[in-house]
Order: sequence, then C-alpha cells, then structure tokens
Amino acid sequence: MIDWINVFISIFIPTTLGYIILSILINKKINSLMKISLSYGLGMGVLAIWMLFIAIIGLRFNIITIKMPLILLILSLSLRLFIRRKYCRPSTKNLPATTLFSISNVKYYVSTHITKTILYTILLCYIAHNIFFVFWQATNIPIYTWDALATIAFKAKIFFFEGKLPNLNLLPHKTYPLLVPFLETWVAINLGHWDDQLIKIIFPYAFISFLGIFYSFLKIYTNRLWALIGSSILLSSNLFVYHATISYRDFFLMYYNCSTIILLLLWDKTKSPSILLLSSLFAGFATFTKLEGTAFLPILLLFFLLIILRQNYPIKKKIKQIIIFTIPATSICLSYHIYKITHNVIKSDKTVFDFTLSKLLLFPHIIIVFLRNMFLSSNWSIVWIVFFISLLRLKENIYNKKTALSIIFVILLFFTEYALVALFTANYVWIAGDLNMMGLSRLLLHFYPLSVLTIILLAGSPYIDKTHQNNY
Amino acid sequence: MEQNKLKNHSFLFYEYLIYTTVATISLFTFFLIIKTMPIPLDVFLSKMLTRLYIPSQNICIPPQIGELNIQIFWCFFIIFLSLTSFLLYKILKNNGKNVSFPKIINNICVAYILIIALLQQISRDNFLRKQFHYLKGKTTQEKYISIAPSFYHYVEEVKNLVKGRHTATLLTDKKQDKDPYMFFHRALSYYLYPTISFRYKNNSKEDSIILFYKKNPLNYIPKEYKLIFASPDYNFIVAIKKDVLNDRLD
Repeated sequence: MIDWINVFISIFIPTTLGYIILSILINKKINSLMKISLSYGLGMGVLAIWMLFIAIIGLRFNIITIKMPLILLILSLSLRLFIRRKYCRPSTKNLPATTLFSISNVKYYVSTHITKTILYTILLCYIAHNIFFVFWQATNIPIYTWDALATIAFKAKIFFFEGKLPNLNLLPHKTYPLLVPFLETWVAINLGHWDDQLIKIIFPYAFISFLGIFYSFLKIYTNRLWALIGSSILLSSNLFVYHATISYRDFFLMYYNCSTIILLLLWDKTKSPSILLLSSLFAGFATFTKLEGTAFLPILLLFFLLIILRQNYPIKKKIKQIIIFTIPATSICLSYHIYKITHNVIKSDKTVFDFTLSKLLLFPHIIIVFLRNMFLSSNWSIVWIVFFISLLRLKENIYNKKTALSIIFVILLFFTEYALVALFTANYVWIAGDLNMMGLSRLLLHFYPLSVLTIILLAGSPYIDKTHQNNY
Repeated sequence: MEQNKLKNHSFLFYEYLIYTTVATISLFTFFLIIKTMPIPLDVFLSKMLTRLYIPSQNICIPPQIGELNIQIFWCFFIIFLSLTSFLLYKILKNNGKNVSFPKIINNICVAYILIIALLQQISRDNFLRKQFHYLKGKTTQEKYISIAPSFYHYVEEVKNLVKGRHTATLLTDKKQDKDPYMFFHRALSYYLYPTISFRYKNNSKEDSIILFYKKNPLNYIPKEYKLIFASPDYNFIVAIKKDVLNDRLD
C-alpha cells in the first residue's frame, strides 16, 4: 500500500508542476482535459532536465536534491498563480461556466440520441478496457524485454544504486539520451527501493496522457463522436498498446514528437505564443528521449516554418515566433549533446553518412520493407491501409483539408528521413536489412498517431458546399 | 408524387437486393477461403478470437490462418468493401443524393477498423486473463522465475549468498553478439546488479569471476578465489576473491 502511495507521489509531483506551469503560461486557451494531459508530459520533461542539471553540477540523486526543489518550485509558482488570479479576477469571471456532468443532461441525451449513446458506450468501454489492460500489464509484469534489460532499466538501476549519473563512458550505450532512465530512477527514489514492476508506472500514465491530448485535439477539429472513434482507432494498434506496457523509450518519443506536432497545429489555430513555447519544450524533451529525437528536430522546424510562411504576420513578429520555437528546443537538445562532448563520449558510427550513389538502388527495397511492416505485420491493425484510402478525400473540398495536408506533409518527412537514414548510414540493417524486425516497427511508432489523425480529420470533416465556402 | 413514391420504393428494393447479394457473396467467399485451409471452422474462429494480440519484443506477430497471414485476409476485405462502397455510391448518386465516393469508402473503412479492433480486444482480453491467472499472487521473484531465462533462480541464490557489492569479469564461450546468449548476457547483468556488476564497472577493482557457459569452468578459477556458487550443470559459476570475503567477515 505504501508503495502505491509513493508511486502516486512520483506521478503527482511532476504533473502538478506541469499543471501550474501550464496555468501560468496558457491559462484558458486550452480545455481542461488537454491541460491535465499536457501537464504530465511537461512535468516529466522538466523533471528529467532538472535531473540532468543535478548531474551536471555533480550533485547526487536523492530526495533533497530532486524532490525538495520541485516541491519548493510548485509552492512558489502556486503562490504566483494565486496572486495573479486574485488580481485578474474580472477577466476570469466573464468566462461561461461549463457543466461537465449532469444526470438530467445525460438522461435527456440518452433519450434523444439512442444510437449515438450505444456507440459512445461501446467506444468508452473499449477505451476503458485498454486503459485497464495497459495499467495491469505495466505494473504486474516485471521488466523482461530486451532493450529494457540491456539499456533503459539497467541505466535507471545504476543511477538509483550509485545515487548519481556516473561517467557516461562507463555506461552501456553511452550516447543514448536519458529521459526515460531518469524518470524510472525518480520513481525508484520515491519508492525508496528498486521495484522491477512499479518503476514502469510512467508508461501507463504517458499512455493516458497522450490519449487525452489526442482526444482533445480531435474534438477541436471534429466532434466528440469522431474524437472518440479516433481514440479507439489509435488503440487498435497492437504495438502502440504493447509499448505502453514495457520499458522502452519509443513510447515517450512518440508522445513528445506527436504532441509537438499537435501543439504546433493548435498554435496555428490559436496563434498563442505560449502554445508555441510549449511545443518547443516538447520538441526539446523528444531530443532528450532518444537520438532520433534530435533527428526529428529539423523536421519539426521545417513543419513550423511551413506554418509560419502561411501566416500573414509582419516579419518582426515572425522572427519573434522563430525565436520562441527554436531557442528552448535547441537549448534542451544541445545541453545534453554538449555534456556528452565535454565528457568525451564519442559519437556512434551509426550516424556517419556515406553518400555512395549506388546505394540508391536499395530504395525500392526499403519502400517494400516499409509497406510490408505497415500492411502485413499485426502492429497497426489496418490503420495504414485505411490511411492511404482516406487520401482519396483530399480531392474534395473539405473543412479540415489544410490541417490534414499539413499532417500528411510531416508523415512524408518522417518517411523520407528514415528512408535516407536507411540508405546512407549503417542503420540500414535495422530499418530495411536483416534486423528490420527489431527496429522498423518502433520507428513507425514514433509518428503512427499522425496517420490516425489524418484518417479522422478527413473522415470526420464536413463537405464544404462551394456556395458557402466563404463561411469557413 | 406517385412517381416519386415508386422511385423511392424501387431504390429501397435495389438497395436491399445489392446488400443481400454482397452479403451472400461475402459469406460465400469467406467460407470458400476457410474451406481451402487445412483447419476446421471452430479452430479458425478460436484463432480469430485469441491470436490477434501476439506481441514479441519489437513486433506484433500476425496469426497465420492456414498458410495465409491474417493481414492479407483483412486487405481482401478492404478490396471487397471498396466494391460495396462503389455500388452504394452509384445507387445513392442515381437517386439524386449528394454523396461522394471517397467519403463513403472512408467511413466504411473506419467502421471496419472498429470491427477489427473489437475482435482484437477479445484477443487482448484473453491474453490478459491468461497472464492474470498465471501471475496471480506471485512475488516479483516468482514472476521472474516464470518468465525470465532458466538461470534466473540461480541469480536469486547468488544474491542470497553474496554479501556487499562486487565487480566481476564474465568469462564465457558463447558469442555475446548473437541471441540467445546476447540476451542472456544482458539479462544476467541486469539481474545481478548491484550485488555483482560486470557490465557497468565504476572504476572499482574486479574482485569476482562469473563463468557462464564456459568449458571446464573450474580451470578458470584462480587460487586466490573461492567458489561461491555453481549451478548443477556448471554453466553458471560465481567465485569471489578470498581476501575480499575475509574483509567482509571481519
């Protein structure tokens, strides 16, 4: 029982910190579900960076160095928030009160929309069952998977028992970023002992958190039903659900990578600089999750530039937005890479590019391997097939076409990047070579939710009558 | 008015006719496919309800129905659904409805994913129930004995025998860059840490030896080392320097 209380504390502290930072940054521009969901990712990211900072200045990992400063930060930020709310009360009073749940409303809805109610119930039961599935699997099966034993959980165990970040050169896979091992260490520190099951608690929470972000985003662009359908389709991927139960870094990379894209799209809609800042932080956290995160940064930057080019802002404002997005993300990214350089952690051979033209002949094979994984593995249900079919709707004049096109553009960039990495680096063997079974599925997971977003944005989008086009 | 009624009536009739035909063809084709496979229908159905969630490290393995990957089966139905969608589109279009083929096929496919998702969920639920019954009431160590490689219970014994923390050299004849020994090597390292550390060496002196799948292992234990543990098949042996052991006793 005491262990569960400590586990709860290890989740509660970073999430609260994330929530307070979000409340200061964004206030009322996003809905509560999205705000709580984002709080988890933000809080965990801040915690991991804080642990890196502690390591850089040579302090040990313990309650005093990690927990106490976080609690103090929460208290001071809460005070600031309280004071700000106290003096800004008139503006918040004007906001309409929203009722989340009322029995009379539900009764009325059920009686008038019986078919929809049945559908809602089925979808909600499906989602709830999956949440239970992920929680049970993650917290009842000890660490047994390859990468977890070899790298992620092993590093976390070392950090916990050594009480510090040792010289990176002594660690296995010394170049790998440390967000997930740090978070597992944090849970163990809160527990006071090493638990091969409970340290995985961060994964089911990341699962729920991402589901919340995904649902809230779809609800903004479509409606509640399509958002629920989208969330259910997201969970139809076996690999997505499976990775939320094992101690791999890919789920967290997917979380930060896709959340960044979602936040950039939201920023495009709301034009709020704080959402842009948040997306930048998430892009930075992605770089501290896996090395691929650093490779994703140029893609995210390109996507951001695409959005900014479409906006009719004066050049001064555009430069300000570029600074808001690039500085936090690159700072987080560089902080760890500089730390590695200063500690003589040499880069891996896997990242060395060899631009031999004859390698281009491998391109068709790479495409076939990608398609085989997308269509014939049991990883993605039939999501990728339906994704390609849904592209037919791009011919039409539909409401979410612009957003869907933006997402398709990013998906294409991810495919291109992985294809290029396979073609011109030693990573070929993991992506399209003999060992593609080990690597490719995980690479596709990093942007898989974007395919579901596209399907739902296109399927759930109303057709625009040309005569009323100007209304949109 | 009367003409419109007739038109609507004929539309409903044709719609009904086409759906029935499509359903019959689909059922007929479905049974034809199963007939060509060397497995009975009940086995097929049980596979459909229990084998749609088979995670294995980095991939979820699709079940094979006869010689056929189940994903091919789903793809076949997508083609079939495209045909149905096109027919539906033609019927609605002919009856003056403002519809688009992409929208129909998109929505039908979305419904199709949800049906597959529900089927998969039965498999996930079965998977969960099996694991629940298998692991119910077990401690983490007992669970590991059930799911980890067979040498795990030796690791537990070593952890009980050895006091303090040690740094070891691992000697093995097996290649550490090929599975299963590559995995065994990593797993052993994880399980033994922090009692005995051989993959992470924190600049401390090596004071122990682990002999893992080594031929004539006893020949590799130097005189100043004491054998602490040996598995019955001698594939897993731990020896620690005598002076370190004496220090600990003092």
